[in-house]
Amino acid sequence: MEFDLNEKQSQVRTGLREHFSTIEKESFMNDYYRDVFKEKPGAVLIDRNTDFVTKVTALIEVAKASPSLSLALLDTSVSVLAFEAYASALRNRSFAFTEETAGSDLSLIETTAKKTNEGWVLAGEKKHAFCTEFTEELIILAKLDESSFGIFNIPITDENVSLHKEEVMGLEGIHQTTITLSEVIASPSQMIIKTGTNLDDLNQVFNLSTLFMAAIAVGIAEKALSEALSYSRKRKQFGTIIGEYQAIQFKIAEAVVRINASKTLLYEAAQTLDCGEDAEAEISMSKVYASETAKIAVDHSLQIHGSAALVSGSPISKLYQFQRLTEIHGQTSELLRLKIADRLVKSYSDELVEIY
Amino acid sequence: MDFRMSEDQKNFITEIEEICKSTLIPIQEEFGEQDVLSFEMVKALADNGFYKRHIPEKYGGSNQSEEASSTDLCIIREELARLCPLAESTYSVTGLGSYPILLAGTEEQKQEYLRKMTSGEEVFAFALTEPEAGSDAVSLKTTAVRDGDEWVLNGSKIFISNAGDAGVYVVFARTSDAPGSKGISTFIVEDGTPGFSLKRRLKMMAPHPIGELEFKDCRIPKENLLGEEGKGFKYAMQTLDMFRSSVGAQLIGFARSAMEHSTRYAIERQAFGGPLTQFQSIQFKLADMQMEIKAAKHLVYYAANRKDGGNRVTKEAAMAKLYASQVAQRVAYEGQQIFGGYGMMKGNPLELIYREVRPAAIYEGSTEIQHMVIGRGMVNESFIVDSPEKILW
Repeated sequence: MEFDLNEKQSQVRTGLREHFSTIEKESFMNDYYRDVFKEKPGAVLIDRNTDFVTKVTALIEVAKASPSLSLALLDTSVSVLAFEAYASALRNRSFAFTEETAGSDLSLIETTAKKTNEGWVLAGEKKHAFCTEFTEELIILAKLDESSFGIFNIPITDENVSLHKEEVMGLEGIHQTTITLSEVIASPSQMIIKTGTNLDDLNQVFNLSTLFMAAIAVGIAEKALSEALSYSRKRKQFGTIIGEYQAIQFKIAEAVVRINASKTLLYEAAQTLDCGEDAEAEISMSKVYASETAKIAVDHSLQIHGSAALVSGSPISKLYQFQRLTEIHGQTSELLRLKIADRLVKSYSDELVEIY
Repeated sequence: MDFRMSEDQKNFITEIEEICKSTLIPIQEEFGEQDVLSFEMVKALADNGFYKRHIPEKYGGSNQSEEASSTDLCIIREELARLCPLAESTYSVTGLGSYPILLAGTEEQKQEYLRKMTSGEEVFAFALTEPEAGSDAVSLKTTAVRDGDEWVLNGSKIFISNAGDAGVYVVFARTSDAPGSKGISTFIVEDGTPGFSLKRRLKMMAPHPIGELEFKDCRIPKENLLGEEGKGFKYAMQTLDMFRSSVGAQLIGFARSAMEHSTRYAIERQAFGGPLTQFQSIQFKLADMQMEIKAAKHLVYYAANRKDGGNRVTKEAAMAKLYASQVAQRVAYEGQQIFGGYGMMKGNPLELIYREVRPAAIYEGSTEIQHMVIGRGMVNESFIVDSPEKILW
């Protein structure tokens, strides 16, 4: 067993910490974002030769510096890593999979892609696409016929694409977008892959989204803990710093133990992927656990800060709101728990797999 | 980075499983639930080399290194707890009781006592807790006063595992009025010494040899002082630091056993026209069990790994033990819930596991003490080490 980062991985982490310490916080979602994939931190995430241990390490640092930025990196990174077609070309992308009636159960989508002489014609309405303000390409899931789906890339500037943006709680500069596709025409080369309605061919997309959300959740939890620690060291009540009280110490202890536990699950999942093995169960566990840890860590941190954290726009109030997304986006905790249990039950039913 | 066990470690686990199946489990089944030690189990453990593993060869052990391996200790305790709880407690209590001798004993003491330990000739006990000194162990009141070539002990000890069954007791007593822990020293007291007696045996909720000891003008030779005078508390803490993460490992063993039994039951048991596993409420319980056990296990082996790397592990071991005890209790509870009425019945594995997991939230640093230690260390920054390669706080 070996639990430490290697030298190269440590260097990436140290480099990112230094990098973020020199940047004005407000600037992440403006000019900074435009070149984010050309250098760090984005370049690390999309580089196929960089291991997943390094990638999740980087993403934790990004989420600590800016939850908005970490979320904005997600879809592009996953698309580059998951689709062979995207190995070289690089544009900022947003996934547009879910719809009003199709969330966890994507088989219910109603957006269609019909083959015509002009090419594919896409029509329908997509919900909850993130970060479209920086997106150049939408990655759209559409129904081809009763038994198959296609994934299309559509320029966001297409004249038949219209966007309706809504703010997301706790996130600055990022919107959740409803996308209306009214007879959008796509050439055959714009179809990235074709898949059955069980979406088996998209496992890599789902798994990586889940893994990266887990890393983001860890970053949020660590940020909340750091804030709680510095506040409990300086805030004085009843004649001493509040960190002297067991009421505060116990909250901090619970948060740090859960954060450490989250990180072991996250790194185990990343390491399993790096070994080229099936990591779906490990990834699922890491995200369920990390997102719920973020909930606990942020809630404790808010309680420790008292009313100061209730002020709209305070750092903890933003984390408190953003954390919620981590339990939903990148597959819900409910769906992931079902996957974990399914694996466990199958392994015992067949008595084939050694679970530990 | 690699979270997986090495091939050697996997083979070791297989070896333990085989010994459990062939030898240890049959002894446990015949012994049943008794609040005394099974000497047959002691012999079986000794014959199969368990007590030798962490002891250097020159003292009758099989360890080629001078240092005991924390990871090894964790593997043994996890696997024994999973398959044969009686073997686990029989193994670990003697390990704990004799460890201060390995840590601080003279060459003569090590030769004499560790050889008896590895061969199974003598069973050991660790006597720290007193009726009025539990978590606050520094306030212990048992005294040891030097009189010529002897030490004279007076006081009592409670919740001492192997009390009445052990041949050798490692006893912590006050030797001076020095403040805090500085006045505490460690002694070796053999069974049968005049003035030393078993006051009473205690009955625990889960079967365990345990009791209360009494010292009334108990005279022992001056050579029975263990290590340096005034350093007793340090030895106690060093011993507990070595064993704390392995308490976590034991709890992982219990939790895995609970998960294995309840998963199999949920697959077989039919209700409302199908197996229990058709219900999301059961699926969620199983998912949480596996997820939490994995996380807790990683924390345990992380602490053990750092200990074996020569680091102080006050923080890591506290986290491992705290979290593993919480997880084991949750898993035992939910496992029993899956079994329904059958989980309440004597003879059902979950009924016993539910009782077995409870004491560890109290002994060797209660849940409250672990929270306090971790929270305090984080606030005062003694637990904050910023090294670029470490993944955990």
